[in-house]
Amino acid sequence: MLKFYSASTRVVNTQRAILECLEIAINNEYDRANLLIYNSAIGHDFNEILRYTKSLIPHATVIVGSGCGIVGREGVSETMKDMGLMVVEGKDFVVSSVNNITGNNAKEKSVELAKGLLTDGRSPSLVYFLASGIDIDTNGCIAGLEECLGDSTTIFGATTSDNMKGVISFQGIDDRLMTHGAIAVGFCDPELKVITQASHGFRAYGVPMVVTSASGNVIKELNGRPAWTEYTSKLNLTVDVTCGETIPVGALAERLPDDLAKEYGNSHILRVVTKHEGDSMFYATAVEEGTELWLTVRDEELIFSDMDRMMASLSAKLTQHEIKAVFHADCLARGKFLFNKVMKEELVNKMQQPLHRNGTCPPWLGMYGFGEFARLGGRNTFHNYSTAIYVLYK
Amino acid sequence: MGTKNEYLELLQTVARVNTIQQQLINTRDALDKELETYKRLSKLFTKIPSLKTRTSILKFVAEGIIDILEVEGAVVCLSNTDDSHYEFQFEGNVSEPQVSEMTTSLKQICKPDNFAKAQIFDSFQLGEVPHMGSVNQGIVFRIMETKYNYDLILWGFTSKQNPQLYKTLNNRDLMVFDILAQNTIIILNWLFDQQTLAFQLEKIKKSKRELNRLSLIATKTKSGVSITDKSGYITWVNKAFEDTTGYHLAEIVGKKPGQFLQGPLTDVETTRKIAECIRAGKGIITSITNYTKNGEILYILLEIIPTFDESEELDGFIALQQDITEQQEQMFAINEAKTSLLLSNDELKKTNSELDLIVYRISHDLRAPLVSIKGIVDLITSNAAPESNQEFLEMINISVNRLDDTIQGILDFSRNARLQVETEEVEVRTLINEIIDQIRYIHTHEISVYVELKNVDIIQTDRERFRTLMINLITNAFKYCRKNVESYIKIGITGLEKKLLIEVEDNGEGIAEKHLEKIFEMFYRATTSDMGSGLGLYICKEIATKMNGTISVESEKNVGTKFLVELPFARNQKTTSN
Repeated sequence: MLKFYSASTRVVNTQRAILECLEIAINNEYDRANLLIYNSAIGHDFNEILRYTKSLIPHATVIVGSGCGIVGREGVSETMKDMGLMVVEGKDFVVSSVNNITGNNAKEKSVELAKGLLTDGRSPSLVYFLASGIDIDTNGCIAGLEECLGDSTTIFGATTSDNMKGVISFQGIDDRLMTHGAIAVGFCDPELKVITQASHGFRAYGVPMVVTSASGNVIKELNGRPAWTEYTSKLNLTVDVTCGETIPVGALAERLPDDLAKEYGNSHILRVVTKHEGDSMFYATAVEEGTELWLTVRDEELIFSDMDRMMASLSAKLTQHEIKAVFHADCLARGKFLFNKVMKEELVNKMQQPLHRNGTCPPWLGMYGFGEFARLGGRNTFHNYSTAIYVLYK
Repeated sequence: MGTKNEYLELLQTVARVNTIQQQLINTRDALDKELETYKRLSKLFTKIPSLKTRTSILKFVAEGIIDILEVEGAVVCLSNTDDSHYEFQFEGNVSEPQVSEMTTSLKQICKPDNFAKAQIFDSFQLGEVPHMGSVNQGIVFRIMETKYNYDLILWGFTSKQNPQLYKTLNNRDLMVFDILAQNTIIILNWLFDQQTLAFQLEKIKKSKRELNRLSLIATKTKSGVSITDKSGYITWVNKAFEDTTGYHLAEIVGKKPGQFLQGPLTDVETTRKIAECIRAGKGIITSITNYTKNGEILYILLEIIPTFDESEELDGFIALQQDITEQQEQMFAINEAKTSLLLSNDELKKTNSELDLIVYRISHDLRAPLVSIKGIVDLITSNAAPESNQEFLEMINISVNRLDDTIQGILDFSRNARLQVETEEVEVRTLINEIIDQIRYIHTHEISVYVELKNVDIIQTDRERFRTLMINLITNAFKYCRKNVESYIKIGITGLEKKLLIEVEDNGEGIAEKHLEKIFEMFYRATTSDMGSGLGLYICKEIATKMNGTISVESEKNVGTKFLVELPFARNQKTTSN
């Protein structure tokens, strides 16, 4: 039976941050830790996170992913030195990792990753997935994982990011730090279940742009014109802006089928552009030519009401269950780039409050990354610009 | 077409509004960030006072630079102005040797007299500086602080590794860094003040503890303690001093101890030495005889210790007075007992020697007459010549007399040695007349006896000793009178102010000069014709000595002899003069 403990901190020194998290999470009882999952802001030394943790707890598996900020039981923070930790006690899990996963090999690498989860004969029913958020085909990742694990295996997690610069992100396991890696943790505890839900609160508007030329997750042309130029002009920006500057305003939306729209609470699912090379834009997932992409606007009222709707739905499903832990992936665009501190904290409170038990927030590890995985219409789906909540329960 | 164009314009407007909205959000975020920055600054400097050491403060400031400015690395370097003591703390993904080299290089280009204000350096400016090649951008603050003489340099930097992850430092960051640096100086100065204060407080506490201990010692000790100013005037005394001397502080404060403690038996030389030491600001250990308020003698072992203030100027004296009266008196008693023992020892030796002599002489002098008597008895028994019996009896008589004399002498000696002097009223003339009558009965020679008593009639004296003395002196005069002259004995007893003079003079055989020295020795006979015991004059000397008097002799052979005895005299109220 797996047990979960979490902590988060804003201590600047990497080693002291680790020590503080371990003290808060497991009261320095290192023997209890079998798996440690760190989400950390880009300012920390990731090699040191892995090395130092292993020096303290050599018997545990250590995983780290970078992001733009952290959400924990202690609250939300988006600085260069945030660190969140989920400690897992118990041995009902398997871990696998691959390196050099990109947009054009995502599926193959994900198959390899999934096979790694099956090597000891156990079959995980839910998979926590961390992968590089820069240049990746997330639909390919899902396809690869489902090919080996089955589409009934719930995939939840996030794509890692930096501080919205789109320069670099980190994924690490034990003694290996990667910048284009993917890590999967398969939970094999038969009593453990997960429920996932996501919401975004953006509204698509206007006439959509049409993908007229694409290769995998790279869009080369929109509306018959160079993609980046078309995209930025639609946003009323110049071509020399960075991806980071387009992210807050440039969420692209794809229409959802009605049934999924109903479940989602929104007619569109959003996608982010994390990188561009010349006029080619790196999309969040593989895209087919002819796909319509709408521009969007933030609707703060919708964001909050959608959050309420999502949490109400989750709560209703969990009333009879014991919540063991909550993983949380939030799009970095929804952090300080979208909301001021007060609003952001209010939003996080709206996520956490409904899941309290006996006045206490369950163990919580959340990250502001480039994208989120959550089920939609019963299918593992990649989301952007959303808040995705993954509640592990018994 | 028009509708489409309007629609497109509307879309563009929406996009523009979107962008403007984002700009507003950005502005709002910038304000938020500003607020957040100052909150972090405030939090940083609220937390720092809880840090106790300089090292932890510098480390915390280094972390604060990273946290607040969101740079990649930070260094805080603190050194003495002469660079003799050097400490730096750093944070970030750099090694210590790297940081050390970079900081040293930075110090070359950031001279303190040009600073005390933050400045930004970019890679272009840093490119030529040794060890700074990996730095993309740096922000520096340096100050030479004069109050505590230290050189403080703070700097933050981003490397060329992933410069895009970090923002470009700007004037706003300069202002923030300035505030951070200035507050660091305030905190450091506060720390130094605290440390100085803590040090001084600790010193005060230590002094107080020591003072308490010393006060406890001073108040509880059984030795007297007095404290004077540098001129020797009393400022404080402890209870033991008061108890021992009988003087209370109130009555002696402002006085010098010598003014009231010294008295007749106080050694002048000691007081002079003490005064000299006081003048010279030196200590001294000495014993001194002092007096209590009641005039009782106090023997004191005195130790005077000079005390000095922080600038090593003499500011007073502490005197420790240990009452050694009891020990001193014991010492006197011991000395007295020793003297007494020595005297007793001498007496014992003398007695022992006398006893040896007595035993010898007794065995000889007692035995000799007995042998003689036996011989004569044998003769009588043998009845060889009956007409000689009378002569023999006469000879026996002489021997018996000799025996009697010897035995009497021994008895007199023993009595004098054994018995204590006991005085009583003695009628002198009566006693002298009795003695003369007794002696005339024994010694039948015609001798004129003149007795002259002056200022004595009844005296307080040891009757038996006085009697024995007079008997021996007068008997000698009788014994050694010349047969062919008109012999006389003059006995003069004169009572002076404090002594009794006894003169017994005769015109008898006299004593040869060679015998005069030994005439008073036990069993010494000046003449072989003398049939006496040889104890008479010895006994006179012993008696005179026992009675604290003296005896002397003047004599000339065939002229006469005069014995002079002086005894302590206590005149009786009934004295009359003749």
